[in-house]
Amino acid sequence: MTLIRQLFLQAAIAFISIFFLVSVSHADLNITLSGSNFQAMPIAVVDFGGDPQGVQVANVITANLKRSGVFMPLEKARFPESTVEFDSSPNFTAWKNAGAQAVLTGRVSREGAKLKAEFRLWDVTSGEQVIGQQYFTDPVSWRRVSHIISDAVYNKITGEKGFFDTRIVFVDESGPKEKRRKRLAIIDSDGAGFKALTSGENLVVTPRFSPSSQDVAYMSFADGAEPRVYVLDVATGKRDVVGSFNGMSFSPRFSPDGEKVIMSLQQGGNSNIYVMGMGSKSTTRLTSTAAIDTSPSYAPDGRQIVFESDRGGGQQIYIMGADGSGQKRVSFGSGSYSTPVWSPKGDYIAFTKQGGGRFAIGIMKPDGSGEKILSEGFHNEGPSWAPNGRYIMFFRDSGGAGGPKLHMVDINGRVDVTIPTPAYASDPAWSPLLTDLR
Amino acid sequence: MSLGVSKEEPGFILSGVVHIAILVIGLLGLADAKRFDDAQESLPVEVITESQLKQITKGEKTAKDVLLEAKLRVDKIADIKKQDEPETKKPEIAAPLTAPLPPVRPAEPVKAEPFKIEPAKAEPKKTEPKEVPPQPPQKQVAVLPPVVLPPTRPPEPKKVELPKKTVSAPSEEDEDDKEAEVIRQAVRKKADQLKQEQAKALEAKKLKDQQEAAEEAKQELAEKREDAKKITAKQAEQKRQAEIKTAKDVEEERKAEAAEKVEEAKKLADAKKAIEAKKALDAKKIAEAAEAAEEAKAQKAEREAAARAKTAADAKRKELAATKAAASDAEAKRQADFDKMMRSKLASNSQNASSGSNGKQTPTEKTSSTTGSTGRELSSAPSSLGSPTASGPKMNPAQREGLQDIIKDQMLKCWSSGSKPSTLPLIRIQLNPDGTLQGKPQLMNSSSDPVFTSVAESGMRAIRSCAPYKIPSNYAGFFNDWKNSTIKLDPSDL
Repeated sequence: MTLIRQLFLQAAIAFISIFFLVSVSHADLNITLSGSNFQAMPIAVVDFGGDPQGVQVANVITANLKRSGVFMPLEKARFPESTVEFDSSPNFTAWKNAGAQAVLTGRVSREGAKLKAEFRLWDVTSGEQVIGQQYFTDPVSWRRVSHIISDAVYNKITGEKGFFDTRIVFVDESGPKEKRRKRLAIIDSDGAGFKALTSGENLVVTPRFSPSSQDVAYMSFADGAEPRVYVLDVATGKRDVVGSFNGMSFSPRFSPDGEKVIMSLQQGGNSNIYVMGMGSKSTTRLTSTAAIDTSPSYAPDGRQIVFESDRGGGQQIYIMGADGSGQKRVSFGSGSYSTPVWSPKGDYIAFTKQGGGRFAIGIMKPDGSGEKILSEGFHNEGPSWAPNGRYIMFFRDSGGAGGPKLHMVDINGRVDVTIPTPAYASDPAWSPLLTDLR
Repeated sequence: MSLGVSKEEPGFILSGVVHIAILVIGLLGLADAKRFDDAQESLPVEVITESQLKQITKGEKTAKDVLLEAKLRVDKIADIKKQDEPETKKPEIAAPLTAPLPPVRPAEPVKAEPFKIEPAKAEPKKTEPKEVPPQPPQKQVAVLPPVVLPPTRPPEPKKVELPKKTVSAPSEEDEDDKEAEVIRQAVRKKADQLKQEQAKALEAKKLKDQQEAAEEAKQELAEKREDAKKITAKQAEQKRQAEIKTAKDVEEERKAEAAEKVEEAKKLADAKKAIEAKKALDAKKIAEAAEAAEEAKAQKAEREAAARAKTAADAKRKELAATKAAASDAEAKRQADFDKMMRSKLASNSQNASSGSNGKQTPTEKTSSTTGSTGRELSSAPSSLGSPTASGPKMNPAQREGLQDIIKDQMLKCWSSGSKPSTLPLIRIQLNPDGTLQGKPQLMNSSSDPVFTSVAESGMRAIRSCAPYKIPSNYAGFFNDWKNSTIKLDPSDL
């Protein structure tokens, strides 16, 4: 028996040794690319050929890609070739030597009454076309085509949905600080295409885009009466009151499917959260406390709701089920947390944090962990997620004689850009991708 | 005390007798037992294939770089052996290692014993013993390969083989060797005897001629004698008494003259004999000189003759015991092949080392890094540090980690991806010794997540755009250990 055991032992050792030797002999170098050595991708957007509007298209795309922070468009002075024939490939060696990793070429032409826009994205390192598409539209919509092409490039490179073909509804503020005129306005994601939605006679605040349509819900102090929640169809201009309650209703937000509106209703000294079906107009109370529960926001799957409440003594962030069950606090940092908004991707909750006389915009995971401040200053408030969940827009007031302006940051804190508006702007609401609405 | 032996119980007696008989037989048998062979000291031998040998000789320590297309450097041209019969190749390939035989013919594996059949058929046919002896030495020089075999049998191959032999069948192999040696000696003796016999035959012929000449002279003498006798008889009849003395004198004179003639004939014959003997001696000397000049070839011829003689002996043995002869024949063939190969290698190596005059050599031979390798054609290709496909030295864990960081830092400078996919992409790359990419990066896994695709593409783009990678020179020797890399893309920290 001892001999058999020895034999078995020797065989096992031999087997393990052989396995080890084989595994070692075939061992590769194992490299994990992670860390913070991020660098924006150098890209060259060559002027689109064909119609003279091709240059404008290229400029819009260049500005979009630069604003995203993911790309670093090359200056035209560094281009090794000023134009590239659309049906021929660029000189990859020259572009590589110029420092570009990708080259975007395109052509704009007219086909009857339509504008035809084509583009090709080239990978300089491999010398291959990454993507190529063409679009037909009205000539007046050339900017939108530019945004759509920008989204296509962004999506191909990052794998994320784009955010350029979107619009932003905000409160346009004009006039002196003491007597500001506030009206609803809408712009493209890059600040162009400004359009006022309301006249400015009545004060409007907290506009919110529907995730599935061009409807905007907002609160208005109409005709000196109790503030009400209204829904405005941006395309048609049609406006409806959401419910009729005894008391002030505010902070409206659509459900992910756009079928319900969740909002706060003030009754006495308290405010609670209610949900109302857009079709049935039936209302359901979700919270019932002697505190101020407000700023509700649905999770993208519609199963949970995040809101702020001072039931614990200070303003903090809480989460509950879509039916009001299982309410629990998730924010435990110093200062007060308000205006929580659930990311369209569901991975983060954006919030406004107040402490030490300063306001900050930050994000945290739904369980309250991983809090990260993205922008901090005199007054930062009203975060709104881009449809791809990678960017947040908010308004910032630097104090002094000036007023608030719209700003966009990314969740990595690498991007912080001002969205140009004709006047002061606050309470931005980011629309879904317009292409998703078709 | 009685032993208790009774006739009624003969078993005791029988048992005793049988035991004693067994003891006696056993003692006699043991006393006559064959003595054990002396234990032979075993040598450590590593058996390598031809390809492995090529791999070893591919690399040279003095080379600067590892070449991708490293070729064997050939310093000397080898003879090109015509292989008309493909069967003769089989024993060299080590037939048992070749592809398995088709399942249709299950009997084949038993039959297909290359060592059993082919040496008997192929080898003797090619080198029949008849062909070699008539060939003049000059012709042999032209036919034989430029490899000059050493005069004596090199001991090294034997040493290599010995352990093998002792393991497999020691007694038979030794017997074969002894027999071969005996046969070789016999052949040599035979050749000497033939030469001697030829010389003797020549001498005998000359002697015969001389004897014939002497006999003719004798016959003439006898005729003359008869004539003289007749004359003397007539004279005797005429002058019997008076002239007896003068007749005798005349007779003696004539005898003397005949003797002188015989003497002269003998001298002539001796002279002729001497000249012819001298000529034969000269011819012998010339032949010996030629033999000395072509000693190596003659050795080979002898060896081949010995092999032929051996095969003849094997054939004889075959007649006696067919199966045993076949087995030993196959073994002898294998041994002969191996001996041949080792001798030729040894001869070529020693030749290159010593003179280098016999054979075409490349200029590289002048350098100290010559390999003395032999091939079909000369090749002065630049030497390689080794083969990129062969295994090489391994890095230790610290070196491995250091190099990983070096490559990672270079790649990170080109990477620009922000979102974390549900599955982390894995990319495999292969580098050249100079740090350039060998082929395209290969994505090793997949996912339906669009972020996965973009991250993977961004990773591959970064890998391509950052190439070539700067690899410190101290890692050059470990190329085989770092040429393959797997890159995991984890943008979670970005």
